[in-house]
Amino acid sequence: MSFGTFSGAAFTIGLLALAAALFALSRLRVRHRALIVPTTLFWREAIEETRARVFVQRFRHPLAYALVLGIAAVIWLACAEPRSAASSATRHVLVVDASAPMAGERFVAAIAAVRERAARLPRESTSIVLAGARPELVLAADEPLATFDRRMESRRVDPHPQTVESTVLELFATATGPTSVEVCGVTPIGADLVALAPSGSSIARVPCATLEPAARRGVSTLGVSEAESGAWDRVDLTVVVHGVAPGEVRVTLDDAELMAASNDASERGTRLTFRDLPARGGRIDVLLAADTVAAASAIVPLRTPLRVAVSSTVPPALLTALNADRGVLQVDVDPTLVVRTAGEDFFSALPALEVATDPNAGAFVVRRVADGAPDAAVRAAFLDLGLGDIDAMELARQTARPIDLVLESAPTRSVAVLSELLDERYDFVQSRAFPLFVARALRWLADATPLQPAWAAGAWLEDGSTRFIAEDGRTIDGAGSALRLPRAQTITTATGRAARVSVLDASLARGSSPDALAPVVDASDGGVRGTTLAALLALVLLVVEWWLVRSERMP
Amino acid sequence: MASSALLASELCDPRFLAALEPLRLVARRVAPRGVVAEQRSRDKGSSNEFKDYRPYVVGDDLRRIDWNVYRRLHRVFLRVFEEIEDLPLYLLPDVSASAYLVDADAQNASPPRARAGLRTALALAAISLGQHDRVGVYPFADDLRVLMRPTGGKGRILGLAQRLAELESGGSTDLARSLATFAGLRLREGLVCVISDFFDPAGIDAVTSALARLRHRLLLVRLVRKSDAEPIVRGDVRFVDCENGSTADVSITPHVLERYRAAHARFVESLASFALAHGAGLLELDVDAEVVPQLERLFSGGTYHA
Repeated sequence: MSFGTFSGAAFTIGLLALAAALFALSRLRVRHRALIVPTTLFWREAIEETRARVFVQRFRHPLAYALVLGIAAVIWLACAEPRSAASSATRHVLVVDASAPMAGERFVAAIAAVRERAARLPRESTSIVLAGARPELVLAADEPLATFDRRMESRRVDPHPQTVESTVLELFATATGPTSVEVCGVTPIGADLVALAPSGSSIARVPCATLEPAARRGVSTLGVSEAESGAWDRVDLTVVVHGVAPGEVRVTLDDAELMAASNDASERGTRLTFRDLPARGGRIDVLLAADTVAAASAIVPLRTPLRVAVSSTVPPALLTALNADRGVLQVDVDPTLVVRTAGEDFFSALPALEVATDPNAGAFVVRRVADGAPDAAVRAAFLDLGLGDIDAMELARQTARPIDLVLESAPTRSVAVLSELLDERYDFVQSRAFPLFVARALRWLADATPLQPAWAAGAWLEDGSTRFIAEDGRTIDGAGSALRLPRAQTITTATGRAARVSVLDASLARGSSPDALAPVVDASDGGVRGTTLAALLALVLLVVEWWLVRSERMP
Repeated sequence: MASSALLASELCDPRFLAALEPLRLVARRVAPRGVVAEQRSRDKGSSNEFKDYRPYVVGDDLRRIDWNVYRRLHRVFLRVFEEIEDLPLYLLPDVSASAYLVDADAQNASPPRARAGLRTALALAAISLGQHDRVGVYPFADDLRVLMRPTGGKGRILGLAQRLAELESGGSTDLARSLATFAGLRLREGLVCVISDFFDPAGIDAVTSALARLRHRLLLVRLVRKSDAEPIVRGDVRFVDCENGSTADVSITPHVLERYRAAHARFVESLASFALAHGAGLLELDVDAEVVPQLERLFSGGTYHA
């Protein structure tokens, strides 16, 4: 037997204290009401055999003491909330939903409800797990509840979609015996998960008036990214919705409905992609089914063309690439960027894309304001300038020279490409990488912040990579396995791209099944609770005492 | 000694005396050497009431010879007449502390037991004095006192009432000692009336033994209250004896109450058995009720035959 309120030692000590206190009380002299009478003759005769119910320095009524002690012990037992051995063998795990949908008062209410519930369960077999971005044991079995209070003092929810289901699955998978999982939060638990409970285990919901299971219908991702077409003044739009068929999703740009270029429905939600939307600062609304209020909205970035002054000395191939870039406006006055031949006196103070004629110079020379480590600069050069897309090996073979990258520090940014590489005999100017290189070089020179893709926290990495750098600088490596994006933050993918991870809809719970959890039934072992039994026993003992007193068998 | 809590007017008033008029105390035979009164005496005397004949012996008064009988029978017989004398009434009212105990919730009231006992004594005295008997009053507590030596005369009743009212309550009851003192007075045989609750710490057996030693006719008036037989108390009580201060701590239960009733019943039964065995009169007088109607029950047909 175990006790829900006290430990076994505390129960024993309390019982002994009760016995001692009752013993001391039993020895106290009863204070009598004085009454003057004509004679005490008859009273003396009457009490000659029946002693008064007083303890005058002697313990005279062991039966009365035993009964009172029994009643007190049973009441004490009821306070201790006894539980059977079978009940004690069950491992109780209380799971607190600490995901983004629980922010604010919900989390406070859940903590209070779980604490109250934990107080009624055997301390030695009850633990509490916080289901935030990842499961976290916040109170181990046998730890006092005060520890839980202390640990939860400064806790907030994680900006992460719900992980209760995965936490419960993990608990079921690692269960070594009967486990009673009780969930407190807004995450709906589907019948399929309930059915996965191992034999002898169960799952239920801790009742909390302020917490209702969240909807499984909503938008989890809404983000714009650089247009795959490479158009500077265009963006691609990605929308991921849950619980809604693709046909029931309407996406509008300034109230004009958009047609998705592709849609991909899977268990991870329905992904809709819209291509080449004009980057003119329009408003995007996502409406689900017949809703009139947008489930999610975003503003398309505003992108103005780059004002570029082009020298007449630049090779025709470069001019062709510039002409093809819709993000470039060639001007003669008030430019912000320059395209010229190296050493030419043409807007010398402005950032420039230069054509180098010195064969001893590097194939590509990147001059930047030295503000970081060279490694990062090289990586940025490759990524931001699109140099990684160049088939450098083939170009080196054709030109019979090394295709190298030289980094230099300078007060003004500039990118220089060797004029030899722009010869139309070589594949570079013919390749798809060349206009990209030109376009990216100009945007890098303009210091234009690239659009960061918006990914949903808790989702798998969009680019399928298995490694990324978190906001705090830690590298999260899946060792070959796919990774879920952690809490809302900005990450850097393995390819060096920054990505914005967000929890778009805090009220959305992933999955498709409606909530199937029943509230916790607060009766141990499916029978009468030990507390109730103890209270009934106390009542019986009181009746016995009353009968004994009435029948004069006990004073 | 506590002072008296009674007024003479509480004990005696004209209406009370008037109610006693029809009552008479008659003795079968009173002891000789009394004063002339209305009771038949064992003495043979000179009244007009013929009693018997007896043969003449030398020395008899020749005036009492019945010459008609001598003429008829030729034998000398004397006429014997009744002697009419008084019946001495000795009143022994209980003035112990228990008689003067008042209820806790009626501190200003007169003590019911003393009031009823003294009214009873006064009633009997009035009856006796009214028929020319002599009355002596000997209140007792832990010992006997002489309040009034045997005296006759109707006119003494009011004075007696005043003296009874002025009685001071005594201490503990000691009937055996009091009766022994009374016996030591060597009074002429008469009717001894003990008016008491008979709550003697020595127990009822000591009381009856002392009563049995008296050479007088006995009339016992037991002063009773309903609460004597059926105490209305509950809980844990410390009973304090008003006479000697002894205590008894009792937790009142039905069982204890039953034992109390049994003890009280034994007490009553002992006194009744004694009265029956010794030809003594016994009146259980409810002190909370009127005295005269209860006395009338004792005076069957208006007469009490001592």
